[in-house]
Amino acid sequence: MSNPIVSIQGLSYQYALTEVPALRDVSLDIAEGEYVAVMGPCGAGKTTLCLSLNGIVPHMMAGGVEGKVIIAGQDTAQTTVRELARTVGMVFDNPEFQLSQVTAREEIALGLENTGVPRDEMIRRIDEVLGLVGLRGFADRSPLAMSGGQQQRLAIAAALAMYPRVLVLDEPTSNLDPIGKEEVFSVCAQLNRERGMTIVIVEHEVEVMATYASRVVVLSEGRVALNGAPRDVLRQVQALEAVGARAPQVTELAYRLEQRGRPVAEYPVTLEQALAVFPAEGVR
Amino acid sequence: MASARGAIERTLAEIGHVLEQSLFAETLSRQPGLLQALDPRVKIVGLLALLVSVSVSRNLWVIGGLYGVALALAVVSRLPVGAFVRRVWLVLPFFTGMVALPALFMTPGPTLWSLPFDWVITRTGALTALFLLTRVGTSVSFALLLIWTTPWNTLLKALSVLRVPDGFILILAMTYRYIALLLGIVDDMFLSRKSRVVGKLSTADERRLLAASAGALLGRSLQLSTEVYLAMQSRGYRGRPRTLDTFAMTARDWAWSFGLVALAAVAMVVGQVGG
Repeated sequence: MSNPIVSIQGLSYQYALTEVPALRDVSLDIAEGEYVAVMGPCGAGKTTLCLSLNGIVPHMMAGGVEGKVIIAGQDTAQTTVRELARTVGMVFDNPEFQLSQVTAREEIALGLENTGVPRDEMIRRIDEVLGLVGLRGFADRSPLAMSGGQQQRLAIAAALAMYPRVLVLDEPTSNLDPIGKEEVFSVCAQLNRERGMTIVIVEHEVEVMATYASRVVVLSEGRVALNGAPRDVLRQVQALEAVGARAPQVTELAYRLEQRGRPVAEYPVTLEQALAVFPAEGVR
Repeated sequence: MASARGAIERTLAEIGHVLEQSLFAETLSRQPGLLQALDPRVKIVGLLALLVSVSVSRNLWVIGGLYGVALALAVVSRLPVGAFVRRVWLVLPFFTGMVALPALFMTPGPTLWSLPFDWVITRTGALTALFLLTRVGTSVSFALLLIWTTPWNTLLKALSVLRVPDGFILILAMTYRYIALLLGIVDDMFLSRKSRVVGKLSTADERRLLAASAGALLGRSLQLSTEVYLAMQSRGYRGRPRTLDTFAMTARDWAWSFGLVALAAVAMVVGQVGG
């Protein structure tokens, strides 16, 4: 891949006072405009991978690091978290922990003020990103008075206002109800599709990721176990099971059918693919 | 002694009260009123000057007069005066009163009242206690005026502009944000516990429950503080509070600034005359 926006080169990381490394020799290139879903069981190293993209690992965590992470040409070991905040927007799992201001407007302004954006430009960007995440009209509302989905979209807006080239989301929907989840997924898809923003998302909703992601990376015990297009990765039902991840339900169905003597020529990974594949295979 | 309500109920009620008060203060600070409209730097400098003049005053009439000024400022700032007075004077006896109490008996001077068991309240002791109570009450009133008329972020930014160290402001900012989160967790923890407790707990059981909860909270608080701080750092936080508001002194701000400082100076001079 020529000129990837994210280049992870042989990254290993072990937190202080732990017995095993969180990441082991991870190498991964991500091109600009990709939508990468990172999956894997608990303790696979997904969060550590995310934190290494904006420099929190190693700058703000005690531990030992080997290898390199280059983001848009910047070595994260040589660049501060504050400087990387202009390039990498980070959204964490719990929106409550990310929102620290009294109104949505001030929440978005926080990062902009810290990076010295002029006031008029700030006001313009605040309106723009609130519109992008579907929160126009919420500028003066307290984040505490918003639903979980709205809070998480506000956290995304706050990250977007910095005009990052890469948006990293670490299990952004784990605390949300189904409606809130859908709100977050559609905003990410729209940003990727319409703005070409690079998205790296840690997510367990495999069916949703099969639809939206352009690439799936499966981590296991700190290593990259599987890496490729959703159609190539998610059809490996046994390999996924072996590392503690799971395939989409339609893929699982095809696999089970095959085990019972009903071979399916091509495993579907999305509902739409299943609707095309199963009738053709005589599955009713 | 165990009260009619158990520790869980009392804790839940107190959490609700604290959150309500926090919301109440933010709401007041954003409503129209005289102090709300002033530049926060003027309020900090002016009210601080008045606070110093209260502290150094040796004249009860001057302290009383300054308390009158605090009440007048509360009225023109459309603050609920009843709540403003209660907030100060209902809490004061529990803290300052306990400190002032020994002075009543231990300060040497002419006898004011004789009590059983040869206990004597001296006139000097009573005056000392009265000075302490009125000074603290008036000072807290000025501090409350500042907090109730200035949004928290604006207050922090004003402190930053006035060269208060960044570390101190960061601690204030994190504490404020963190307390709301922590209270939410405590609320969940106690509600969950209450929903699993059928009978009435003995005082000893309640003590054990509170001790266990305090331990669990300490662990959670460490985790929480890390997560909140990481999220702020990820957005380029540099330890300085920022708001979209720009501070600009108007003629009215200058006038109030000089007025409050002049009043404090006069009170300081007059207050040196005992009374």
